[in-house]
Amino acid sequence: MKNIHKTLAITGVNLIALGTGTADATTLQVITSASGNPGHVAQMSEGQLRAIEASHLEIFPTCKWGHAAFDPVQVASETLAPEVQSLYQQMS
Amino acid sequence: MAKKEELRQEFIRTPEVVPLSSNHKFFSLLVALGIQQEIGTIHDEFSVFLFDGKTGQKIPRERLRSELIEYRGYTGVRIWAEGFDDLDLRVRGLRTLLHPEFSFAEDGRIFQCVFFPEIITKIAALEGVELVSVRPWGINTVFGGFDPKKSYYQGSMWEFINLDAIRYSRLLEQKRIVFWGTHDLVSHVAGVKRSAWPELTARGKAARLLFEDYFAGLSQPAAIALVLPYALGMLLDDLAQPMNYESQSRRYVVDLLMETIRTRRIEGHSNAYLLKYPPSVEKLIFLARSDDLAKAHAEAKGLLHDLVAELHSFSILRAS
Repeated sequence: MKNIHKTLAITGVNLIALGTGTADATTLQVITSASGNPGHVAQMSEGQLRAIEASHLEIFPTCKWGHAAFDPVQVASETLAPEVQSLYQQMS
Repeated sequence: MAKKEELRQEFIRTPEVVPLSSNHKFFSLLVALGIQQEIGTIHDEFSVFLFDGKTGQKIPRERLRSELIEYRGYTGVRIWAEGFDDLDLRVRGLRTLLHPEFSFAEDGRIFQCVFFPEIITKIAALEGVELVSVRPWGINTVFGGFDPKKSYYQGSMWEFINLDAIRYSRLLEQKRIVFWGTHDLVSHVAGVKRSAWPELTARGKAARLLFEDYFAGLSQPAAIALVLPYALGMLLDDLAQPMNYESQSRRYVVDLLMETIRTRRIEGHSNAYLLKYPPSVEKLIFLARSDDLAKAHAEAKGLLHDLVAELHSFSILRAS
């Protein structure tokens, strides 16, 4: 995809919005301020900005890895295979 | 607590990924502890599938109790529900993981659930699958400052994703399932079948090679580059759940996601800042989970296109 770069000026630092969408450089400034970092984006380290980015990017609860992705189903009684029975018998 | 700290000290000296069978007694204790700690908490996936056999109603999570047990040198976990003596487990394959003598009454009712991880590990092996310890995940769950009210991943979960995605796909490739808690027990081990694994192995290998190439030379990719791999990893995790082995819609979306990553519509090495999590991810996951292949064929490509467009439009680069 060929990106259209748009330069946005924000109090001493140039930010580039990627793509053709609505990314607004002031959003980053708002986020950094809300995170208790009133300084300008330009004065922050890469690590500071990444930490702020990570902390506000909340993944939707329905889209989290490591959860059952199926509904309960009624199950008829299940028969143990002989090999499994044998494992339990070995315990006794 | 002192005992748990001793266990933790021993655990951190184990290899990063190791079969539970390499030290059955030690790892069985850790798995039993992991399950026992989760029961009755928000992390308790077992309770999601536990119903009252008499009324058909869901048993409230708060009624569940658990304790570690020991029987003839085997460590296990006993789970019961206060006020309920007829437990209906609504997951296929879970009953065969219960110790029959300690869990079933003479009339066939399940009055409590007794699991021995060592035996479960051997049952999985009968299906050609190896249950393993993944140390970083065990530290994060069993020992990770466990707080039953909080999510495992706190705030900086993006730091974990690329490593987890590669690690997870490698596990699939090697016919391995991590076994630490109720999610692994209920969603991955219960109902495990040998016949599903040739495909899972192939998908795991393909995903692992793709991730290694996509993130080559990077230890910590930016969040923007992790959204698609995260969605792919999640759907691979879905497919490795026996209840979803046959899901055609998931398979289709997995293939599309792999193709999208491969074509670098989002660069793995991008250093843009992502300002908003793209809502199309959720739509795509729902579609994959719909088990409606015709709908997936009709809508998935468009959703992926939207998702890539959102990633571009919600991101910003610092010029210098």
